[in-house]
Amino acid sequence: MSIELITVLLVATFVTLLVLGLPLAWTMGATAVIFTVGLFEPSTMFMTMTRVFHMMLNYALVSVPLFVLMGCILEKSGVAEQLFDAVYVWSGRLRGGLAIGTIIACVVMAAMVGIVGAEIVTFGLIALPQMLDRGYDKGLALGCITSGGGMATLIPPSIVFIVYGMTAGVSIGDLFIAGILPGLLLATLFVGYIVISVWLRPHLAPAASEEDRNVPLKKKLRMLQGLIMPALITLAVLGSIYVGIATPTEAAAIGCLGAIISAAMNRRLSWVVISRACYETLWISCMLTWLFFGAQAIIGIYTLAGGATFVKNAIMDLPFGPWGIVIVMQIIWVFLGMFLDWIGILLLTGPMFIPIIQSLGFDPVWFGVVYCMNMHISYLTPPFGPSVFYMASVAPPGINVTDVYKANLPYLWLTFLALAIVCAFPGLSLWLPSLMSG
Amino acid sequence: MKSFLALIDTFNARVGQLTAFIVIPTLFCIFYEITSRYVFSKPTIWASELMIYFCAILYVLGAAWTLQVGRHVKIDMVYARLSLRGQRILDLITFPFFTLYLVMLLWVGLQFAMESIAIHETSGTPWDPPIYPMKSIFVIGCAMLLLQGAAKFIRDIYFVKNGRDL
Repeated sequence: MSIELITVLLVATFVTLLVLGLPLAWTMGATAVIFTVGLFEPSTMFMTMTRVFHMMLNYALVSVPLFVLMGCILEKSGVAEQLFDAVYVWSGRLRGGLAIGTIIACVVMAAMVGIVGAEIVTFGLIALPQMLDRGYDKGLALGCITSGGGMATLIPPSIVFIVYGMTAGVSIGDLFIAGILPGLLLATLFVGYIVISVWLRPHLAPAASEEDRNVPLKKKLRMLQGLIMPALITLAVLGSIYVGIATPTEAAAIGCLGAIISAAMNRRLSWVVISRACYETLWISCMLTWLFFGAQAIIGIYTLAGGATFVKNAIMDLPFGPWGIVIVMQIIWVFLGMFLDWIGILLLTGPMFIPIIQSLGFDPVWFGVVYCMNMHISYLTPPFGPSVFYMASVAPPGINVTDVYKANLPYLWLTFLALAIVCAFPGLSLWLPSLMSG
Repeated sequence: MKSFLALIDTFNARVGQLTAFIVIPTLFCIFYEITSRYVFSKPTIWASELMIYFCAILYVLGAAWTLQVGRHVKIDMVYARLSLRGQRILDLITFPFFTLYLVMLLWVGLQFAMESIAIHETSGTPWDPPIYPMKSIFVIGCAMLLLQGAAKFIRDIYFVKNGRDL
């Protein structure tokens, strides 16, 4: 059988099973088994098994449950509420201050939590009612929470970077640090957009009330306490990676400790909180790792059949030059993003795309940042926009998915702009990691 | 039959709930390692390796419970539009593929584990602990997943046939 035919049959089997509702992890595995038996001998499964064990006993993979645990504890620790209150009181004077404050709070929270869903749901519950109560425009409120919360993919510690690092074989620490400046760029663009749009159209955000404007300085200073723990946690986690004294896995453990202390300080630490966080961690980790196992199986067998070489030749033969190929890859991602989650896209395209990128002379760390920004875009675009679904799931009645999609349009264009800037100036992502020791 | 299915559910959920707390000793391993490296300048040879085994247990023994609570991601663009009965019928159609994959993992995993036990295989690292418990646990995890899948399969057949839950 020719590799073209194998590719078509493999994709057809994969898509059929997926559409029939078989979970992605089993779809990848079952497709791999069918083609192993069909193309080779069943004993080729031993190679697959070796790959699965290798993945199961992977050092970097340990950081996944730990960062998830950290996020789950923080989510229930009351840190997000304090953070929002503090930012709100300090930005109270500004027109649109609440929306700007939400973006800033999202950035700080994203520097501790690496899961998009957790962040959007948390701020959707805290910030959205406050903004709607004060007469903010519905679109402005929905957009800033969804797009702001979505930045958790890009701002370290992001689970996306961990998986990318494992797939590409590049340092997860480098990826984390590389995401900082592009993340801040995106946040700046968002804040700038809010400032300009409320200035042009004041009806979008009413001026702060007398009460909100005249918060005594003493109270304002007391509110700053809410920023201490988030600042310490971020500093400890990212700082230790940056300075090189801890691996991302160890930094994640430190972050967990910080999260537990925060919860204890807010008197939120209880057996229920810890056990719920542990259960949630198990579910998310098992879901992710069995996807990794399935991906190991299907990528392993496709590579053995000559698929990786085939894809490489097909892409290299495109008459667009290196930058054209980078753009084609991103179009493929955005297309796949209509149906698949970030993890599926990364596990399936990463092993094919990353070697091509390297042979074209691009930096795989930079490509990781580009990947994350693409996923931020795919999270906001129909028909499968997880960020939008998370937001709609906590929005009050009367707000539907379409409202949220529309509200995010301006932020979507800004993300495209930021993506173009990050692509055009690789230094923006690569400068900070280049300063790292070791 | 009903009580047998409930037994599978309870067993997998209990094992999962217990396994979930393995992240706590994992944390202790890391703190121990950090402390001994930076405070006592004596890095351990076992802590970093042990935490990998703890997490491997987490992924493998928690998978069946994750399946039970429906947390393995799927694409539901078509699936979600169907009636409950339609969804159950699709689950019946895809069940053989799930079984194919898991039986294959179980079969190959079993041979890996048996060989590993026979030669008392160790990990080959400086600490060099026996590795066969990890390979055996993988087989147990696959068996748990298959049982959970089979329980769902029987329930789906009953639902499609009788229009109500077993």
